[in-house]
Amino acid sequence: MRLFVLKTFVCVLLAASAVQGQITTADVRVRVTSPGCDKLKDVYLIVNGDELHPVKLDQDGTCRWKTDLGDDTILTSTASFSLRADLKRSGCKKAEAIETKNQADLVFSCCDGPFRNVNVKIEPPMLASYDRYVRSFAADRNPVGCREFAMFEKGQGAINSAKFDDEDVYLHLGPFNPKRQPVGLFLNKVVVDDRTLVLTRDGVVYRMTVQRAKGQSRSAPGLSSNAISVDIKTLGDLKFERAEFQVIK
Amino acid sequence: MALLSEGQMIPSAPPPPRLKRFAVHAAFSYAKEDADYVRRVGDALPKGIKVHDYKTRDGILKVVGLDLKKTLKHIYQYEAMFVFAFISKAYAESEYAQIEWEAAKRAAKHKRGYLIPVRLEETDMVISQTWLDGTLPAAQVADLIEGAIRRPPPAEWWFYLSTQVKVAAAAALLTLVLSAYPIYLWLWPSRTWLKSADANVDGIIAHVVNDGPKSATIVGKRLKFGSLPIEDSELRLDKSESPTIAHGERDVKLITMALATKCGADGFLVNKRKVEPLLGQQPITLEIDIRESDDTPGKSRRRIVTFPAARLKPLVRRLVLGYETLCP
Repeated sequence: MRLFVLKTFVCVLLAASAVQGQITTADVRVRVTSPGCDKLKDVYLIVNGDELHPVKLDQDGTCRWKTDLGDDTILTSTASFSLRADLKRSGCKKAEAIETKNQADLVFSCCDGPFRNVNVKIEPPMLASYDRYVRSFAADRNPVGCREFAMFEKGQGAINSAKFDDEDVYLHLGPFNPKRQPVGLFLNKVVVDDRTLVLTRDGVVYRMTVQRAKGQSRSAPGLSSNAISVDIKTLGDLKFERAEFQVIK
Repeated sequence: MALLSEGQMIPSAPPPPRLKRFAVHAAFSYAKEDADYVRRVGDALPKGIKVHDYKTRDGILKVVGLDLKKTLKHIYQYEAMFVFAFISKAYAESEYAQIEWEAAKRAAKHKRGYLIPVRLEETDMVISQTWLDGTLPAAQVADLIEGAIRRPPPAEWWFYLSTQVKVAAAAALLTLVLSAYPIYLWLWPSRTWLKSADANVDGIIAHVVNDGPKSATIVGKRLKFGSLPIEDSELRLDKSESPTIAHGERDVKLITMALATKCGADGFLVNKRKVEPLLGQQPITLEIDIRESDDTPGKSRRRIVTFPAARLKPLVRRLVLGYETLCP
């Protein structure tokens, strides 16, 4: 009987501690727990998937960093974070709200590879963007899936620290669209290690067709001739000629 | 009233009642030059009517050895049911007569019909009351004075109560109130409502009023944003606040750690830079669930108050996110 009461008490305590309120804060604290964390340099935080504006973290002790986001406050219940350190990346996760200090607390296990940097160059130069649908990294505590993105204003840039085993990367011609899931070129199946791949307009149309057939366009599999026509017309309208992808391991 | 001729006998009647509060039925105020006429009037009054006349034995005993001015003021302001002032040129010039006149006038402000002038001759004195004609025979004036004394009191009933009676009544009333208060506390429940609400950078301030004697308890609180792109938010009591609302009124500080926003048309959550310009006069609703003292357990009553959204600006600036965030 006494044991039952004790168990109930412990369960109630655990349940109470698990319930966390959300806070709005600019004060973000980061801790990395994996071995070798003390050797990490140039640690950046990707907030809400915005890879165009990585937040440089300030060292705050061994394996600890912090940043003040200023007026760009985050809401702990909706914000997602991932870490970039050197050429590595972490999975995405939500911060724990420390209400008493009004801090967002993040603990990462960073970072098991392999990771690749993908250099992209589009001819002629045009606005392009990419989406990364990152799955939960098993090694992280409280991992979440997330969507990360950035734009190449002149069709040239790098998709850094890609972990193709745990994320799907799509390239789009045109600006990033947060609402739609546009049909983009699925890069996981395109890039090849240690060499440069060049895709012409026909090559892109072919890859898109294969993608649709295999259901890799974040839509159900299908071979719609209408969709192929749209791809050809869109690429033609954009005067797209070719795209180069160079992978650096 | 038919005038009585001098010398005619006045039919005997029982003396008029005299309230305990007053020492005499009437106080005569006159100048010594008019004493002869006044004495004749006094003599013509029935024996049961008690008069203060400073020339009589009782009148002299009333003032002898005392401060004359103070005593006269007291007699003519408090001790008589009526004052009859015999107005003449001598009266107007007499220092003591004027003290009596002024004292009687003060009392007459609260007691209608208290001061009755008997005009013996024309003077410069300002007389606002209707006067008796002092040129009439003394017996006739005496008859009129008796009639005035016998008529029903023109003043409010409470004026005729002695101070002792008033104090006793007040004490009885106070005792009644004090003994009834515990019964009131026992019988009546709490009744709580929201008088107003405001916001500052720290939170929401609700002005809560409990009209009942018992305490009520706050059991729920939330903020509703209506058409604004902010999600309705549960509030909590500030650490310094108690959920118990005792009788009376007080400010209750409610806080929240974040205000979540809705998804915007651009696919991002609306952030503070987009919300702030929208905060105008549209009403924000503060809802507080209150369990009154007579509510059954688990039951509560919802109290609502609205205030303009513009007052939320400092709070929105602090609690709505600023970072561009994709809609979930």
